[in-house]
Amino acid sequence: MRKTLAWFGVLTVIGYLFSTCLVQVNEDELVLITQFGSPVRVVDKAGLIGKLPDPVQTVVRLDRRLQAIDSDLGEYLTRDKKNLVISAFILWRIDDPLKFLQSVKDNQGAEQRLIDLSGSELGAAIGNYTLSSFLTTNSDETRIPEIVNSVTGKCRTQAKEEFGIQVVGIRLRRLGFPQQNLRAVHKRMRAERERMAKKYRAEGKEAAAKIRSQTDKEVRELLASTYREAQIKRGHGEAESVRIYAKAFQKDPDFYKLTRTLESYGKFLDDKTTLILSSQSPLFKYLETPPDE
Amino acid sequence: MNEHSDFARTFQHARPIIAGLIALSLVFYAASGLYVVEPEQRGVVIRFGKVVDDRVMPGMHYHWPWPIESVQRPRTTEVRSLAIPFRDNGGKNIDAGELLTGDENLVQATLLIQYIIKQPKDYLTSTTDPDAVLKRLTQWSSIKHFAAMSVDEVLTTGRDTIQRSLKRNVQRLADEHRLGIRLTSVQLQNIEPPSANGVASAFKSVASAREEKHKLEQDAAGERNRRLPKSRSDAESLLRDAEAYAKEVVEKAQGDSERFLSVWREYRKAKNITAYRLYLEAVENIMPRAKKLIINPAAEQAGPTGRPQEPRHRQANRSLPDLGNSFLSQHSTKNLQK
Repeated sequence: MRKTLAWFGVLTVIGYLFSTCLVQVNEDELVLITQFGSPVRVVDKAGLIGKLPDPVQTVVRLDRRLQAIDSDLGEYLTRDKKNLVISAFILWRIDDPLKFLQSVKDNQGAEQRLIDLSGSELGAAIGNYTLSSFLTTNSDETRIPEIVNSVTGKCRTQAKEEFGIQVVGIRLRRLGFPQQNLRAVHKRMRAERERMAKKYRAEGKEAAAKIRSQTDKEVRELLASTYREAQIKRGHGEAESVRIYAKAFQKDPDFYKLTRTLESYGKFLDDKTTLILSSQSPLFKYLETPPDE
Repeated sequence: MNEHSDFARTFQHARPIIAGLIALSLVFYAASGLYVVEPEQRGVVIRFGKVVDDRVMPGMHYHWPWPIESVQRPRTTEVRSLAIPFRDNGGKNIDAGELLTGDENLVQATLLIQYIIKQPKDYLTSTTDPDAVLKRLTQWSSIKHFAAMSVDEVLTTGRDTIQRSLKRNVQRLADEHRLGIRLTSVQLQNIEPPSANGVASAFKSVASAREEKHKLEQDAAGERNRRLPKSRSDAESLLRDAEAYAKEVVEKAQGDSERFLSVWREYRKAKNITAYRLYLEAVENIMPRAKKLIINPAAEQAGPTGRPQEPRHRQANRSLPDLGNSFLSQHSTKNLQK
């Protein structure tokens, strides 16, 4: 019976030592081991580690994962005195557990410090740039990455030195105009659009007129040159016919005159014509004086 | 001693049962390491807190029982989606707001992103909230992107480009921060100008003006396309007309001259007779149609000799070759007889 109890005792001690001397470190944790309250080492690799039993060495577990917090929505003034409403987010993780615990204690404290820090750095940085550094239609001219990188750089150094925090990045999650400016912005947008609409309509008319007049020009030019060609062809034909006529008629101009004149009589004397004929005309020679038989 | 022997005896009695129970619980303990990974899952095996394998394929597997190993089974093939609104909400909420474009215009949109888990280990262990980080990275990418584009680019031509480059950018950022995800799609939905203060309708009227411009141009071009071929065909027919005319006059001239020559060749053989015959035929042709008034100048005029007629006589004689008297008389008599 006593022997059994002794066994129980031994087992309990072994179990206790196992549970307190072996520490499981998860992937998402940083473990700080302290000896009588003073830190002895930081474990940043997941797996099983050993330490002295509990009253001697204790374990503090911290989250090593990347976290995101948002800064408050703030109104900032650019160098050319334009208001911008900006909210940033900060990606951070615990870098130095000891410093972290000593300076900010927990995540809440850390977040508040980071928000304050980034807010003031953002304000300072934005004041150095004009609005066109933020808003530009030429993507080569945008300075936004440069601005946030400089803010990140400054915050990173300070957060690392003072809070044991690694600032991975400070970026914007909101960029806008202040609410009280919206009406003016909308009005400007509308005016711009109305101007564009007018421009499009005018351009349309202009383009159509241009096409029409170009068409007119081409049609007229084509008809004119066609007329020229046609006349030349006609002329050639007529010249040829003149030559042919002349060649034929030259053989006996008198006979030509006779036949042609007679032919033309048939054409221009019609039933509206009144011929006043002299009875002494040769035509009536035999009418008045019959031939002597 | 007696007690002890009692205990021992009882114990001895129950020994097989206890041994059986212990053995059974050992078996159960060992069997607790069996696990199944469903087709849509990947198994992540964790040994003493350390991830030793994050790509256990679907099927039946075994891990060392607790407390040595444990398993997580994220659904890696499941497509997760995240809707990120960029809309006016009265300026109170930092979670969403209209986007600013490079030419100081505002646009609203909703961005829908979809992703699957690419690296289970990273997805599970590198951030406190992958969705929250991903959402912010997407917002950042969008802000940066829109701030470098004009509103017209955004609303008309740029949508595909924006989607593609946002996807690329966000994926790069996600990889940089080891979110362990792969974006499958980034979609911009309902990109539109703000609806307040008549801005949206002003944008619409630009769109319709653009349409109108296009239509005016199209109409003019259509008219041109009708008119040019028409004028070409007109020109063609004018030319053919002229060619036909040229051919016509030449043929006519040839015909006429041939005819003339044929007649002339015969005429040459009997000049006087033929000329007079031709003359009379012409007269016959004309006379029936024309009104005739035959006067006797000698009788009507005071002049006794009829001098005025004499030149005409002569002219007639000149222009007509000598006319055979008998010939004329024959005709005249015929006419008179009719």
